[in-house]
Amino acid sequence: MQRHTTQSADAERTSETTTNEPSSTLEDALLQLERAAELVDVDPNVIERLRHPTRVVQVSVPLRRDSGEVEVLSGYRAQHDDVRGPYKGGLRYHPAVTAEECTGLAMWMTWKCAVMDLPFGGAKGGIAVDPKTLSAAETERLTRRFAEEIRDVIGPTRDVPAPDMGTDAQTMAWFMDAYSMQEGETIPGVVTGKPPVIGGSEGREEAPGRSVAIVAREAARYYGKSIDGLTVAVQGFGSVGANAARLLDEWGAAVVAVSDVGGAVYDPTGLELSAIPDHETQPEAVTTFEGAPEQRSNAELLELDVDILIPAAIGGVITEANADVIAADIIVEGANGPTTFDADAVLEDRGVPVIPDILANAGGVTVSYFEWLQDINRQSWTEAEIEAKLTTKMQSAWEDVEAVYDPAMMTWRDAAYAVALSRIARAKGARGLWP
Amino acid sequence: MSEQDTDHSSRFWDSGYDTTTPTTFECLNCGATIVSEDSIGTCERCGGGLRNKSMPIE
Ligand SMILES: [Zn+2]
Repeated sequence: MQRHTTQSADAERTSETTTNEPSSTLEDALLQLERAAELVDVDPNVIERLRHPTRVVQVSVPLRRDSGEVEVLSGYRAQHDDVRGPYKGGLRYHPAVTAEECTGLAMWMTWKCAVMDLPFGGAKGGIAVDPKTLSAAETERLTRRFAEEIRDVIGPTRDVPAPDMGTDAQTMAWFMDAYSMQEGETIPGVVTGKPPVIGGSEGREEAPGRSVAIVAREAARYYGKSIDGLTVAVQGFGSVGANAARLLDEWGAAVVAVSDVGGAVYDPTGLELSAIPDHETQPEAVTTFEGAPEQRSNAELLELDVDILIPAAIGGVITEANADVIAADIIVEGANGPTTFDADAVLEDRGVPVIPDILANAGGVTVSYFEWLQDINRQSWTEAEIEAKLTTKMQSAWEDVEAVYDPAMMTWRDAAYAVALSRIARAKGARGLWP
Repeated sequence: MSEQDTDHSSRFWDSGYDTTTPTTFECLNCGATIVSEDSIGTCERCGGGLRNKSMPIE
């Protein structure tokens, strides 16, 4: 087993992070930390501690291919900070997984859990491999071996992984089984995102979309807009976008445009969402939907004059190139990082509020927390219970961010990070520095 | 990802779906894995909700 930490290399990068254009997730995460630090009265020693991950574990994961040949892959687990509770974050199987990217994403998970007031810290990890080249048997062997290699740094009270890019409920089931076998008892709380039969939670599919919809509704209320007839455009009709659109429609908003990879449909009076089939009956359902008078491209959807724009497909769609022509009154980030750093600055100058991803799409990690709670308490909650608890959690997170938000001083993103940072700082202050 | 890394203004490398290859979905109800060129919303086996496996959950 090969294992070493990379925090000293990461620390050296920190001092170079002074440009306006961060070139990695880690640099961006550090830049965001500096911005938040200026807004909150926090001991500089706490900020210094938060610039560095607790540990970044790298392991070699030998995999016997179906052909009999052995290949050695690199696995990582970056743990940023656990002052508020066990580390939490996804495990991804992707060729571009590196220690540095995992560290940046782990830091981002720390803020996300803190802004939601979940008793978790931030982590991220994975294996540098293209999952499409693995058979099911190879994926199982790889996952079980990886679970064993990182076993001494994870656990339900240490670090709780979840599915991420290239991993799924089955991956988590194998991971949980491998961990439980070695520990000699069944420990469902070691991972979240499991199949329901072994302790997975209800309400997982709807959670991120529901949190986006709740936050959009609260943002509209803050800006004095009624939900009745509120015009909404949603980029990405996947599970986040589609669930957010359906809920907002149910609450009385007029969803005027939705898109998938093929393009967008637009009806200025509001689409009849129930008429857009659930794609299995009709491939490429959005663009072939005949009830809409007009078609648009994905780029044009972003420029529609609507009350609320929800980019819920992929990262980096609102850039310096189109931030000037965004005509929406409010942007609610459904995807991770849809607004680039430069676009954020343009939108701030133009006074267009951007409700950040760490708050808006936190329904996913919040339901992970509910799954963990059910597992460690040997309980099982109904879908209705999950829905009610998620709504309460989202509303209270919104209220906490709204209480800090001062339009003259900061963006909504700054306010969310300020809430997160002050919670972490208070916890660090109360615990002190050992020894 | 690799394309995103060269875009120096991108905030994340969660680039989401790659439109050049079929997308893999997991059914959150029955666990079926479905590979499709199109964006699909429900499981063809049980009607359960699907998750695009190229997207993070948390
Ligand atoms: Zn199914």
